Amino acid sequence: MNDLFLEFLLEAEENVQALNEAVDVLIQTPGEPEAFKRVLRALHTLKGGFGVFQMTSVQNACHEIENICGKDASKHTKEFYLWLQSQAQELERFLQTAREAGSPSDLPFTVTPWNGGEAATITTTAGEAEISLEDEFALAEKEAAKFFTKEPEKSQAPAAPVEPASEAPALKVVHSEAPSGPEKVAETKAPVTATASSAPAKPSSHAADSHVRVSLSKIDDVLASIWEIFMARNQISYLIEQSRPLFQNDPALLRTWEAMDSSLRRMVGELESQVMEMRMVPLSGVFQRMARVVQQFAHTSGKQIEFRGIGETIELDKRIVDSLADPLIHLVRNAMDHGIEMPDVRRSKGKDATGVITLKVEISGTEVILSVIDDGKGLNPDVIRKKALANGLVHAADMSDTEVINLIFESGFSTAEKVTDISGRGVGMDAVKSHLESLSGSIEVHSVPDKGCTFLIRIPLKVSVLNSLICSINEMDYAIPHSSIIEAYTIDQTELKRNGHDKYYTYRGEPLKVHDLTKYFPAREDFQLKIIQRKAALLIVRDESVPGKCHALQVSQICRNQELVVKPLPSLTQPIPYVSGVSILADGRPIFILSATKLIQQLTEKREKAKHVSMAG
Amino acid sequence: MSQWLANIFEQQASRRSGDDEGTEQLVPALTIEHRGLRYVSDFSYLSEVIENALIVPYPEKHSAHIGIINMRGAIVPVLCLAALFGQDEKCCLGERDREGRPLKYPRMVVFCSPAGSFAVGASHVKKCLVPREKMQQCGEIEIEGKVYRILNENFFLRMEEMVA
Repeated sequence: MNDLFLEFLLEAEENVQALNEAVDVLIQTPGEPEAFKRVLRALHTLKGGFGVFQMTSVQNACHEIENICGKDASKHTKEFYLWLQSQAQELERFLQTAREAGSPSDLPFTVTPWNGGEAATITTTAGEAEISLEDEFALAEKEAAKFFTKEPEKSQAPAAPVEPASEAPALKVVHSEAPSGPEKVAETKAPVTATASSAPAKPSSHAADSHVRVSLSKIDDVLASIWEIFMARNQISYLIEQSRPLFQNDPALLRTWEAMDSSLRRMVGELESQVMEMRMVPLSGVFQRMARVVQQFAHTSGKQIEFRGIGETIELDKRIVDSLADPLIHLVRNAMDHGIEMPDVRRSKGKDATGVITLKVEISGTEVILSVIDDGKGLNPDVIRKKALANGLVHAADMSDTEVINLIFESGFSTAEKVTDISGRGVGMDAVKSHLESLSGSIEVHSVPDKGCTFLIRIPLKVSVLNSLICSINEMDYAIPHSSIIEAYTIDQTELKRNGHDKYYTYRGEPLKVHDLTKYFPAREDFQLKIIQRKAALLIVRDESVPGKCHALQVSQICRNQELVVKPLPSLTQPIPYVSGVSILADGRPIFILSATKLIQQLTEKREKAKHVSMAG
Repeated sequence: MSQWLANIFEQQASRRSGDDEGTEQLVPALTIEHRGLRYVSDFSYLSEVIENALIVPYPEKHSAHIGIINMRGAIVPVLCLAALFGQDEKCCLGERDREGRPLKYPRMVVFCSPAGSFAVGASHVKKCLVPREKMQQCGEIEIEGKVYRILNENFFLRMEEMVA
């Protein structure tokens, strides 16, 4: 994509965001003058930008919306701002289409007519129009200065400095006649370029001047370099450890090396966290988008819905935030369309007429957990089972309610009686699930009929450097993140109580079942010799899926703590649910990073399955 | 392998084969032998051959997936060609030596397929020239009296599907 156009799109997206935010304020407080000014400013800037790229249709549309808005905020009602909100959303969609198109083209854009209230008849007065056109000239000049000064080849034929006032009529003609021919646009562009290049270093008080827009890929490149330094640091640390005997005669030299190593570690760590911070954005944008979706739906459907957000100040990696918006919107739309009942139905069930949809975000260990909670009618397992049987899923009859409910994530599965523009096509939930799985995340649903429904999404945080405990299991090293370990120690085998094949360890007065990993992981041939050891290495780990719950894992040996640079599993690797990533140790060996929670889930499933098979046998 | 090197190889091959119309055109290929199984691979998908790479096996056994290796900071999965072709899986590298350590193999051949890089173990590797036409076919080819299974473009394009 053309860099200039990409930069324009980024700015335009920011302007639409600003427009949306201002409209949100006006919906709450119609007539709020500052917010209204922000609306006009955003529309005006967008109009100028579109004009520079000859996107006439949308440019005219912005102009039309501006005209409908007029100058007086107090004339408009909440209904008007809801209409304005829908136009802002159209602009958002338009920008997305333009981004997909990859180059500026005059894509069609139509303004939905505003027929309510007096605003429909608002026309700009002569004076206003004059101001508007002057503004337009200034705006076009500003936009052109911003974009065209970056392309020196476009200024190769320097035009004589042009007096802005003398050029104003030319601009007036172009805008008032809604230019369609390229020659007219060229007419406006050339003098503007000349004007811009004549004063390129004009100081501006605009806040953007203190910012530099950097692409995520560039930040990623910097991060990759930092991780290389980090791994080199690990190797230095390993070499110091290996060379310790050589320093016997010179302990001061060893101390100097250790101090340097420690200082390097701190500096690389700081550098890494600073760069990681550059990628972090607050979730507030996603929350605002959700609130707008709910507001629009409630307005058109006749349902009363309140949106509540918890955790909007949490900051996450930009890629995660961007990729979460669509699945969340889908879930919220489903909740509004299928979950929340009409006010009279809710009243008849003894509920408040206003349904509540809550989006809750929290960080737990190395995961971000998002919950979309509604207090609607919930999912009815009987209806889903019936639908599944009708779709030919014969096993549905034997499934538990929880298993049946999770069928909603199957492709083509929808229990909606009619397809609306919101949901019901049955192509959404499986897309949501596969999208989340592509982010190494997961989704589960919990539902209580007539109480509501909760969708729980877990996404691993992009953690680059992980403090881990290196454990040996049957002579192979594995890393387990510190965040999931509560305690780690070596105990005497006699401290483990046996009950049949199971072993238990009393932890804080409670018996904890011990999951012996040496039995599940690839074993050495001399494994039997190892197991009769008197000592047992135990890790008490927290179950991140159940708050407050913990488990005991038995490993062969607890080796050491180490900071590891996490790498994703490469493609063509067989995915193992409990392997959350890989890393490279200081001696060059690759090591698997295990997720304790998922490992326990897998072990429990295996045991259940084995028990089921033996009982059936 | 870098493209320019592949081009030089191809030019040499063309020169040697005379490159005349009607003459069989030869292309460079790599033969891979391991535990009695033989493969011949399209040279253009070869990334490099590593000596004595340490394989870290997966915590769970999978038929075609053996483990991972560190290729200068990049993690590369190691696959078992025998399992991919439904041959004797005992030939896979995922086993351990008598001490229970993951086996070290004399050579790891690293390929770069459209779906990503992967490595296969080999006792012997050798460069050779094979007729282009035969290399484009699926199945087997005879080179110097021995039968080799062909790893051509079709194989590399289907990697993702094969390992799934």
